[in-house]
Amino acid sequence: MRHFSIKGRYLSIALVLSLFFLLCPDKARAEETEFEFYFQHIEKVVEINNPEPQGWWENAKSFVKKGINYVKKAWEKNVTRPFLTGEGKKRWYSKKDENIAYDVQRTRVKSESHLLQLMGAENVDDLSDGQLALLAVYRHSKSKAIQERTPFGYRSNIKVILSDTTGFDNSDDNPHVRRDFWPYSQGKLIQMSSSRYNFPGSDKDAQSTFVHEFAHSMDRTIKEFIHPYGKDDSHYTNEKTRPRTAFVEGWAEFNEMLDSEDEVSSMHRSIKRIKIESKSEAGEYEYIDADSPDIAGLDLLSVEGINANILYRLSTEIPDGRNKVFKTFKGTRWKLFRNLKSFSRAFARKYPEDAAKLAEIFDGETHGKLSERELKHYAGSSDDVKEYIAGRGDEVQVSENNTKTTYKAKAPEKNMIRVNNMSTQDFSTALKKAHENVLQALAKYKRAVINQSSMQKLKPLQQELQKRQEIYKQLLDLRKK
Amino acid sequence: MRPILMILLAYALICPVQLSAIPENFGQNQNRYILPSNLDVDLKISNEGKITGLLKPLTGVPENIKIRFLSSENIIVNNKSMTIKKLEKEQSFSINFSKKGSVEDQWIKILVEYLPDFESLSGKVSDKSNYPDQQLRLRLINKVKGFENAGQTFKEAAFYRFQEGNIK
Repeated sequence: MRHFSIKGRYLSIALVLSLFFLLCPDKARAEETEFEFYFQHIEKVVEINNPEPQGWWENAKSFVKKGINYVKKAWEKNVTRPFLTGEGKKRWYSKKDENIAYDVQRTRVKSESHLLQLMGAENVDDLSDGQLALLAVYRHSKSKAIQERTPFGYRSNIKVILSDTTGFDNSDDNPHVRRDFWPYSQGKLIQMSSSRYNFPGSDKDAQSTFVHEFAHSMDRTIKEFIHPYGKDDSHYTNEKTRPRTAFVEGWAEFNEMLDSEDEVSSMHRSIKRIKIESKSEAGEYEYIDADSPDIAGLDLLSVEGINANILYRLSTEIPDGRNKVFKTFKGTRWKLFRNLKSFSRAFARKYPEDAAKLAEIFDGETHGKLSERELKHYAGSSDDVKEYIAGRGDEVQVSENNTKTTYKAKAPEKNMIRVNNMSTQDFSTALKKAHENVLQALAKYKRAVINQSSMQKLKPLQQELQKRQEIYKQLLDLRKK
Repeated sequence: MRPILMILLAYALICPVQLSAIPENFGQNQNRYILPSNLDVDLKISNEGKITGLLKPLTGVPENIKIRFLSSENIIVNNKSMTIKKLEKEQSFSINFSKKGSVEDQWIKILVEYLPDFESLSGKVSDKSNYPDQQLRLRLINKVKGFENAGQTFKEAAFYRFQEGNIK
């Protein structure tokens, strides 16, 4: 009879623990997500710390109390709120002011009519604009837009807290309510509040935000640990943050774009100009045009709006693109440190027939600034991608403000070279190179003709020659100007 | 020692998976600016148990303010709907009500529909110091213009919920 050695016993325990944690706390394969709604309203604002302690004893008490409240706040936010949500009186700690908290009354929502009743209404005409937005969120959870996304998530249950801040929206009296009840997703829990939606038609905005937060709940990606959003902890669609963070937010914003033309237009306007937060001063930003040589192609791929637009273009410009994007997202969900690169490489592997288009989209969204090597990092090295890269035209290195940026001739239709801010010397070098390239292509083509190569081999050489001649001609025209 | 190391190794491997399950904080999304408040609506109770409705303009002079009174089934509010043409400064009014039955689930709500002072509102949302991002600011300005062109009314509310010995 075999006996397990002590080593084997410990290994078994380790394996069992591993399996236990792998399968908890959410089911690995959720095909449908159930939403559990809670409604809460603020009863009062309470002072939990003395804001101005006097004397050493009060200061000491205040210090200890702050520490205890800090622990209570962290526990409430990270444990009781998502896992033990429950009904009844609850305390919601302020993020912005460590000296205050809100006592809220929370009730589980049984139905739409119950929610109306909780908001003091018999019908929608009895609701304020903010309350209408909360109702819109509740209704939207049952919509096709949400239901068709749930198979790509991994959670079988998500709790949604609808916070009615009616009566506490005056920022003079309660300056932190809006920030303290800002909509957010905590994975297992989403919180939406009425305070952001105090205007007519805000139900559309609320639905869009709900889709955004739900998209976060579908995502396992772990963001960067230190200042993922920069020092001010706020982020914008056109802000350069960090690669994983940009992907996480880009994914959520992409989902908003899918449901709203208004979001698409807004995003396209937004990503023309990139903002970069100061490393020393929170909330201080500098602005750079996306096509400026002062920002490299790789840096553009750490902008969440550009991540979003890449995903959006994949969804809309490729046959069955939306389905492919969602399937790739689901297929890479165990890559906990996922970013745009790991996503796009997985996409290119899964759908090789679309790799060239993927490369074209990356090229376009980075304004032709990715080098050949960088583009291959994102789109792979298939023959289709190589062919696309070959058709891009020549690299022109431009040194501007100590930033070396690679510019590409835009292929295939435009074949333009950007020469803004290029020095005379660089322009002469570019012109000389373009001329050499024409001569090279011409020599290749002539050799192929002499060797009686087939039309199949001659055609791409002829096209390449034409492209290089076009580039050279443009540079000559520019020189004349 | 080795078995302990193996357990630690196993835990180190599954730790990232656990991290992904831990509630994570997502930064405050700023793809929209929020409209500033136009009107503060409040219900206050005095020590004698009298409830007063308060309206305070926060942006310019709101107009055509229609006030409706709603209540739970076990409360009767005797105030009739009222209209205030222009609200230049804070105004208050008494709520005349009577209770029947227990305190549980008793509430009074006032619903206020009004036309904002669009000129003042536009001025506020054009302020670069409060709305520094140009794109977001333009989006908000256009939104206000749209409301103005449509003559869109806004709706605010205030609640008073009765509880045992409560003071709001």
